[in-house]
Amino acid sequence: MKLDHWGRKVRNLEKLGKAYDKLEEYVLVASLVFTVSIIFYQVVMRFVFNDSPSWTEEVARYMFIWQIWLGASAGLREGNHIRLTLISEYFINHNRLLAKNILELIVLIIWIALTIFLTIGGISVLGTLTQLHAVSAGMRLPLVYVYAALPVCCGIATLRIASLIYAESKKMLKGGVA
Amino acid sequence: MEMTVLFGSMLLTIAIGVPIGYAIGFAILITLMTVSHIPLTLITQNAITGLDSFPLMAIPFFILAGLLMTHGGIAKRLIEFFNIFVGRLTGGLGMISIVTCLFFGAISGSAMATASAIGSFMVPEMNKEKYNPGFSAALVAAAGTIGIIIPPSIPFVIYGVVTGTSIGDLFIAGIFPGILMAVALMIVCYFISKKYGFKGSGKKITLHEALVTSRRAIWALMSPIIVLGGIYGGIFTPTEAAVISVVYALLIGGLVYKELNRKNIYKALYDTMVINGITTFMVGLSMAFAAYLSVSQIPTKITYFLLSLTDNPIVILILINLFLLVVGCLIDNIPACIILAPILLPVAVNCGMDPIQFGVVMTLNLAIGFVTPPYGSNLFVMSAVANIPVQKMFKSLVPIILSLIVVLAVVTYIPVITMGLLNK
Repeated sequence: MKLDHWGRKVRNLEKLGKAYDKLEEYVLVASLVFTVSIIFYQVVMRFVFNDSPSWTEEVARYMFIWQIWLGASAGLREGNHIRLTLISEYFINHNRLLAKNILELIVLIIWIALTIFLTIGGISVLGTLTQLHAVSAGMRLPLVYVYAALPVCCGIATLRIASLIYAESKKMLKGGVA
Repeated sequence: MEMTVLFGSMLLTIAIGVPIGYAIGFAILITLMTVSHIPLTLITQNAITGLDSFPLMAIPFFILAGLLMTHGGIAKRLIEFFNIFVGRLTGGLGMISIVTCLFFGAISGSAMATASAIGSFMVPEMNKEKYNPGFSAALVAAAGTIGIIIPPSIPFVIYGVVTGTSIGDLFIAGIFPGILMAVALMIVCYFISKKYGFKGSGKKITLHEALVTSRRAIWALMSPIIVLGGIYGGIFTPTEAAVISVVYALLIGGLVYKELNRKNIYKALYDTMVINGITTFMVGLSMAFAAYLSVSQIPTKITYFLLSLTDNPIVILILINLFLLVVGCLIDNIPACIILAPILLPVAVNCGMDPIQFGVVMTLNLAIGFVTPPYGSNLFVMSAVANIPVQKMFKSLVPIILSLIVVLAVVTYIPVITMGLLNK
């Protein structure tokens, strides 16, 4: 009864997660189209009209920071972060599946420790920036919007790693699954 | 003490399988929390300011241009074109693969993209002509690494940003070393093909066919000229050149070759954002690492240590090369470059090497790392493309890697190969 209740909650969370994944994908694709377009516009303006716009580089740079941290979080979903898997492959090949699950959990816990640190640290930097009313050099854009990329994206990454920890612990409790 | 904590925790976390960028961040975090008095905001600040760089933006744009050109049918046209010239030689199909990789490298900035774009066409062709499957896969894996030495090159962008050297100059300096790599591989290919009787494509090409193929390939061949000409002529910055090549790829892949459609453009855009995310965030955390290193003067200490062993620059450069080759066997070139460039550059400069030349030497070392087991990204790519286990390539890799090491030695000790085209 109680388990069933939890199962439904997890399924609802998964649905929400899938909807978010799709949104993230669209945002990333649209932002790349946008940055390519404005830098192309910058080159054309300078080349043809000898008049480079002052805002393009700054906007592109700030979007780039968001793209990087959001992309790093999306990379988690696709499972393609650059990592060494020699030891865990060794465990799989020698059929030590429980050891593999435990190792994987240690890796995930170190990883989540860092994303939690970056989220909390990122929020405290936002606090300082708000107090200082820091703005960008060119467009006088409040820097809070730029620096928010770190806590927001690392927060999402934290949730994704948490769900991987959940899945891996279930495997471990079953006595080891690849 | 702080060096032990920093490097110890980094190596340990990388070894057990923490993604390398996060392992770098974790190592600094542990060091700052235990043995150092520098505030933790060093990490969070650099995670943003370290990425706030217009030159760095060349990375996603070059990735995108490379993907669009792969989907857009450009690799195919280049292969057809080079078939006219080298197709009939001994080992002709291998030769075509090498020359096409050299040219595709001038479009794409990535070794893996180059190997998979060319390999997926050429490996089946070579196997049809009874080439040893291990040899054909190993050859394309190695030829693909030319992609990061011939400009544009993503590792050069990263080295330039991390060490503050000119990315445009690095690009120019990579041209001759990249051509040398191709020549070295062609020599190896020739002798091995002669020994085992690997033939060329066999087909006679009429003048008419040659003209038609060349006309079809002309748009693909123009691309490097636009990018490099634009940078060299001072018309655009490397980042702007990357955007121009994106637009160019869209035009020829979409309107001329008509192989790009909404579906594969969308896929290229999304793949670019993911690859960019998982590589570039490391630069931010590594900037924190580099800042920490310079505050605690670790590069200076390492330089003194090395100079206390020997003050012969030739020996020191051999040691650096050996060290980088070993590192290249174990980890990917981008994290290796980010971690090691700030540490090793002062040593190399002390030996009288220009930072530009050192950038090429370092990238060349790590390029060889793409084809050295156990961790060689291009071996994994080719194992997937050619559908053979990585171990099957080992025997053919020996002469190939040796020939690349000869190129490395030449580039290390003869500065004019890298610096010759620069006005210095």
